[in-house]
Amino acid sequence: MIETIKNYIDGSWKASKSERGQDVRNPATGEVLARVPFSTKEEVQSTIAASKAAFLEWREVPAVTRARYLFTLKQLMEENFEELARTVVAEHGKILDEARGEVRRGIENIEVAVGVPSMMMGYNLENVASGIDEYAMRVPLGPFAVIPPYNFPMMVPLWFLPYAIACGNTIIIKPSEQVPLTQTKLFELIDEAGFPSGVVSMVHGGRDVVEALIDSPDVRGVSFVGSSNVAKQVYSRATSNGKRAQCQGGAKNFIAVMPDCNLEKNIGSLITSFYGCSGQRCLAGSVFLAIGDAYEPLKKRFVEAAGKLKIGNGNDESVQMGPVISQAHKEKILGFIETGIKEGAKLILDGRNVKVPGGEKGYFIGPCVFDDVTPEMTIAREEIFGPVASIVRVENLDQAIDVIDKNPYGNAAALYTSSGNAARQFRTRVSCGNIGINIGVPAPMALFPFGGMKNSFFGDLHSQGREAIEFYTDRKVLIERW
Amino acid sequence: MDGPEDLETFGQLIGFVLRLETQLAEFYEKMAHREDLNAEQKNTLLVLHEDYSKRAKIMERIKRENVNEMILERIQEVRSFEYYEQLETDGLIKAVSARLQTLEEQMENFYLDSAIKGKKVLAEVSRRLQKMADGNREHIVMLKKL
Repeated sequence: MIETIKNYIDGSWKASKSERGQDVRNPATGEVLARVPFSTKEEVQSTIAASKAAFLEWREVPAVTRARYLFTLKQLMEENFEELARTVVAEHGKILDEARGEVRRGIENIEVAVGVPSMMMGYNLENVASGIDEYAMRVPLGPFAVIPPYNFPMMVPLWFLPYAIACGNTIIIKPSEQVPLTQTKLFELIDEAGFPSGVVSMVHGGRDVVEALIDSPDVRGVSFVGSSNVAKQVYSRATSNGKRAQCQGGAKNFIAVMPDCNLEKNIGSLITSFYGCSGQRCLAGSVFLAIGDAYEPLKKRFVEAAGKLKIGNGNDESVQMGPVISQAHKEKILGFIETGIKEGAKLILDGRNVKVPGGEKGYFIGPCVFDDVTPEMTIAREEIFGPVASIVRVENLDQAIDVIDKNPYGNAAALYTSSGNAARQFRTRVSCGNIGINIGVPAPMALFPFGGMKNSFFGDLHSQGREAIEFYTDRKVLIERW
Repeated sequence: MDGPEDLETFGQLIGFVLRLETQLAEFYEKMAHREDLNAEQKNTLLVLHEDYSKRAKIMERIKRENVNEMILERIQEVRSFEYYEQLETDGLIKAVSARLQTLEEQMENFYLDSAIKGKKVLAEVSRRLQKMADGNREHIVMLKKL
């Protein structure tokens, strides 16, 4: 019997009355794991109402006490770590080590957020005028909504949740309908941690639930991560409704490789960048910019290493790459590969027909590499979000930077070099929000903001760290005279 | 248990280490309950049981806390080994001790080798493996006194 997962509203689990929903599948086997409901309008409204009511009390709870709830949640996550990781593997398909890394990154955000009592402090000045004192303080705003993507079912919601509630707000998560089980497990721990009812809520659904959250006058802000098209729409709609919004979109990440790159030392990190999580990362490498003489050895070594990756079910610890999220996404990636071939690129490593014993119904694509790619080609311009690497030859660093800057996305870029000067030029001139020098996946730690520019980000304040505190609080100034 | 296998990912390496350390913790506890041992021998075995239990817990924590990156880089030339034959509790204590000293030495070499080969990929895990190798050396000294 396939279970339909529940919403978590006002501190308790509630079965949705909706008859609409979709199956949640294991991408490695195609097996149906559960059903996720598309909640009704009334259920969304009651979630928002409960969240708003809870805010009035939660904001009065001392910051140190709010942080203690998060300490408890962290402890529960540590105790249930492996189960959380395995749930990620089951519904997303990534390999166990990747899933464990993701859970760890999520916990790191809680570890930063418990510092809110210090981070949220204001400042003051006595006798700003004679007998008058002035104070600036940070205050919470109310309920916030979070709409995370499918590719990091545990980590991305935790870019937002701990900061929002530590600052005194309440929060509503609308998990991706493709990966709702990990958040369901997290909310079991949230329930066990004993947060007051309504402080943390989860409501399942699709586009109409998202729109209801964005349109509600009671929701004060929205955090979104997904494709650029949708990010832009969410940002426009949310801000025109008077809300704060931070909307992270898609990416097309270039990895420039200089001839002085130590290839042997770095090949592992390059492979990880392109094929980690089967390429389904907004920080994944997508296009090589092979500079000058770097081209031949890079191509040879990279294709050799990519061809050795073991593909399979993420629960097998010897496997290095799992499936992609769904049949529909697999077909989309295959479509890009076809387009690449039609536009004249050479497919020099073809992973389309990879055979995975026991995974015949899974959504597997092996590592693919295109050569002779030009920056104008579709596969060099558009986000594929799969295990497909393209190699573009350029003559020098200036050309590489030019290619990067002409691309409409600005999420990440990396340079592999032994030259400090080249590194400095690159990091100064490239207009991307997350830059790596000899780092293939420049993922900011929780203390730092998760950057993004151009069509990869809509908003002013990014997630994580100090910027999260700015996003989740407003400033109030008090001037008093007695 | 299957035969020796290549341990090419951190999941595989740490998984093997955890199984080994946990089984040794259980083994030393079982050994400590042999009736033919004197108090000092029982105490030595219980100390070894506690040490292995602690090491397994630490390795479990390492797995949770230190594998925080997506690491697809293969670890090269690290292979698991068979050890079940050394975990027989029957036989004269001197013979059992000799088998265990051989196992401790094998573990010491394995951890040192893994620490060197894994260092490029995950330095934190390598540091812990190095420390465990030091621990195995101390165990050999203790086992010699049995």
